[in-house]
Amino acid sequence: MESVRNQRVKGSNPFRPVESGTSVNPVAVKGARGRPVTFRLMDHMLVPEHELLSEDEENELLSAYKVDKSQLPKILRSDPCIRALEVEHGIIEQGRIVRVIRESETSGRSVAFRVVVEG
Amino acid sequence: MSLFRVGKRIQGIRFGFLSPKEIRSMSATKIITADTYDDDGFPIDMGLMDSRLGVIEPGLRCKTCGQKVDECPGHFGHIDLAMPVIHVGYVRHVKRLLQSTCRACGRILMDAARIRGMMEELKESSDYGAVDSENTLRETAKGTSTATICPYCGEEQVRITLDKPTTFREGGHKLTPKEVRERLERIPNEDLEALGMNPEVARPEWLILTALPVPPVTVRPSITLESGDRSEDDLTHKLVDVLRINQRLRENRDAGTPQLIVEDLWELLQYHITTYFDNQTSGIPPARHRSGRPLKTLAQRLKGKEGRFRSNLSGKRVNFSARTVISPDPLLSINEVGIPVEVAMELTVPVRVNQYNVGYVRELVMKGSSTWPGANYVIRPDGPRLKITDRNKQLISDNLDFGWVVERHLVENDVVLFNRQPSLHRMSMMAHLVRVMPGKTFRMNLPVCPPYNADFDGDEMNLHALQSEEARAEAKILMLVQEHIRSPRFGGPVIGAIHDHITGAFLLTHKLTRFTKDEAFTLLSGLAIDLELPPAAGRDKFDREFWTGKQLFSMIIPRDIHLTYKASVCVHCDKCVKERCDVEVGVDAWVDIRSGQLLTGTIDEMGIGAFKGQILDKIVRDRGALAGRQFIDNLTRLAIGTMMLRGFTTGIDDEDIPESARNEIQDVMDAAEREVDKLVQTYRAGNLTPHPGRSIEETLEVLAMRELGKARDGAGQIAGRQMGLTNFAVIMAKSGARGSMLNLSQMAGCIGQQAVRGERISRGYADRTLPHFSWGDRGARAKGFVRSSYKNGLKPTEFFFHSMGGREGLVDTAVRTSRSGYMQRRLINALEDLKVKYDGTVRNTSDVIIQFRYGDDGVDPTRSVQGEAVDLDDIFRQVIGYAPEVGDRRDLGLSFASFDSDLLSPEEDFDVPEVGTE
Repeated sequence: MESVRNQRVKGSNPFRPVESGTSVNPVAVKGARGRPVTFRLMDHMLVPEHELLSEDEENELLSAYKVDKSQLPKILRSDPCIRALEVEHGIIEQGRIVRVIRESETSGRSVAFRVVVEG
Repeated sequence: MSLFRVGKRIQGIRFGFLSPKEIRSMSATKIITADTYDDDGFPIDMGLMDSRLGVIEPGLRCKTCGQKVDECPGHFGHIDLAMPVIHVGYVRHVKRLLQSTCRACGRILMDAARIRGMMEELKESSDYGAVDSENTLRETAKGTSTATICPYCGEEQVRITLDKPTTFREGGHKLTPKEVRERLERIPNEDLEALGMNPEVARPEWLILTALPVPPVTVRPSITLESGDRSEDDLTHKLVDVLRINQRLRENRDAGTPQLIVEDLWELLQYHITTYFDNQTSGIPPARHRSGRPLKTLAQRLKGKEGRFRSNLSGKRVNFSARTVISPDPLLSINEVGIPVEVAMELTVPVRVNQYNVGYVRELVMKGSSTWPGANYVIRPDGPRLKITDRNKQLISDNLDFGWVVERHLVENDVVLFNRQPSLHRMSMMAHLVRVMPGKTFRMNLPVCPPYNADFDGDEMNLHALQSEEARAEAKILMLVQEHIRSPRFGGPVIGAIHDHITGAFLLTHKLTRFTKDEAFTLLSGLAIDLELPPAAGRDKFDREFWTGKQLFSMIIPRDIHLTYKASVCVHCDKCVKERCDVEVGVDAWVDIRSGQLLTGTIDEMGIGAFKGQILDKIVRDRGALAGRQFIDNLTRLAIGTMMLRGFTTGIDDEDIPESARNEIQDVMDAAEREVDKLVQTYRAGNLTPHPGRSIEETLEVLAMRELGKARDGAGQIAGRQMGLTNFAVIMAKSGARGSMLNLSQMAGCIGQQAVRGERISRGYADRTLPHFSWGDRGARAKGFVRSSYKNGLKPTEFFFHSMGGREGLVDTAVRTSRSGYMQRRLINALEDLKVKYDGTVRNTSDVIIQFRYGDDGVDPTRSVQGEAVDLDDIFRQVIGYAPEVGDRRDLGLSFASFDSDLLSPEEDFDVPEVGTE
């Protein structure tokens, strides 16, 4: 289990620079004076890292926590982060699991898992 | 595992309406007469108390099911209504149904394609859980609100309005419930799904009542008063009204009375049925009792704090509990609670008789129920429960055998739960060990007051006697007071010294205090320690050995405690001189404890106080709850002993300051007022430069507040200079026992600016605060500056301003408590069944993971160091160790501390005769 839990937080620096050409699917928002600002969603400091689990990893996770997929927290397929992952991995079906790694006030780094649901 | 298997799982719940057919078929009898009992007191057949509706009198049997009281659940009856009546609880639904369907053909006012589209959307979302049918109806009603012509029959639609609470109008014309019902009947089953209804269990016309269910008598029992009169339940009264009007309505209708009169009666019936459901329906006067008290009808039984849900289902009354006033007893341990003999004889603990305890239990039974410790009941293995009386106790005790259960009185060291409302956190209910004592109050030791938030101005507390071995074991391990010294809220102690304990510890340990052997033994005799008195610290001028307070205090600290911190007497120098604090700064605030020896520093709130005590915290963390408890028990006795030995008092003369200081304060006040006047002049002349982001007026206010604040602090400092650590009030303030230097300076010096909403007082009369001032006065006095002190007394205007400020404080606390109470209730309801599992995850009752690791770091805040998982500084200190020359020398304190403790060693001036030494 430790292998799943203790992995380096890739985006732990809140001021990490926008890496060019890595992630796709830019998001446009209204910036100052109504000018559109484009940025890559997954690089934003407020968006935690999302990684898609392989089938082996999924099984490892489910047996480690002794749960089935219905007992995991959920994330909508329409969530922008899932859509961003789809650019890399192709269509992500309902029932796949993503690893969400965020910075935590108490532990420095916290790992959570979410199962993708329709919607 | 199979032991706890769930027998049946609920798969789903379906809600529907009762159809008139269902109402009649579940009815045990039709009710036709409003009378209840005949002259002989027997229930009248087909009356509201018909004996087929269940039994409420013991000894009788139910005519429907043949069972006795408590076995028969009661049975519904029904009333056939002469005319249909609208159900108040569903008027909103009826309104939407009427609005979204055609007045002629009953179809939904939407074309078939749109309906189909909506249905598909609905089906899709139903895959993810339950459908909110109310919402479906609301959506459909919204979708049809613009339709003016029926797409099916072409009928022109008229706008339907609801005249609250139950009258429908169609373009000004009144719709009778009968007409409404006819319209609802016309809605075809196929259209109902789009309206959020399932025609099998919910036809819309069932929302209009043609039959009214009559609840069983068990739901509305009549009570017999001492005078022999019967008194009926509110529901029965209301049903009598319904029946009477129903009867009159039927007669009038059948006799062909003018339509107007029939309609009046019909409306009256509607009123009675409406209030029968909910007597607080807005728009109609509540139905009242003869005495003028509003009736409690169905909705009132369920709603709110006193309703069925919150007071009978979420909360329940319990047996084996006691409640009385609390009072303090400093000689109890914090783990103990003193209970009156009367309570001990009423609360019992069941004891199963076995070969080892027969003798003991027999003795208890022989004592009977009126002598403590005795027993009140025995329960035979075959069931019956026998009360022990003086007449049968011999018999019972002779017959007593293995397997019997004896309910014996509470005795010393029984585990009980002790609780004070409001129970806001887990420390509001802790397990205590019983001490039975004379008197009529519960006694508790003072250090446990903070977690309960208790004081002794009339507070009452509850006590629960545990009834099973498992419960007692669990309570003793998890809930005992000593296990709650440290709080899970902030990782520090909540139980600790308060008030006199802190003053006492201060008197004992501040600088170097001297105690003769006699005094030392007096202080130590009450403690549970097994130590020899250490070598004397020195000899006084009469050549008597003496011990220092620090030495005595060190005797109650576990030997392997090492700690340094700054006491609350610390004056926060720019650069801390650490262990030379006493010599150089003269405040002895650097507390250094090595190997359990207090070397320098004063023990005060920062060391032992509830919420702040560092020594306490350290002991519990390093040595465990038991050591913590022993420390607190010893500490409080030592501190109180010191206070009794030294003597301590405070009064208003503690705030006396010399004439010169008073004049000095007046000068400061005058200067400040002049300064404010000057500011006002600048403002009037228009020469005041506004601060960034503030108006000129705001700037004036800020500057004036600052000036007056400075003045008050100045007065406080002048007053404070006159009051040194020889002053009892100052000792309390500086050590953190009670009160603050601000409190003292307000008594001796100046109360200061009064504020409402954080601003100087500005409202009252037109353009001025009080008629004592001229219009537009912005000076100090006119805006709520109180230059008097509490001791000298306030001027009338000052008093008024002070009341304004004081009132704001009261209102704030009142608002805060109610608001935060409700907030907490919502939080608790949302989180109550979350649980940390053994794998460190937080899960709910269906084992769904809420958090993968409790708090992300899996740290129990109770065992954390101010929320941090590890105390790194402490680990460094342990690894690196102390400078070798310091080591474990007990007399070390002497080399650092001065001997000029003026007040605290009075015996130097008296020739104290030696008593009882060798």
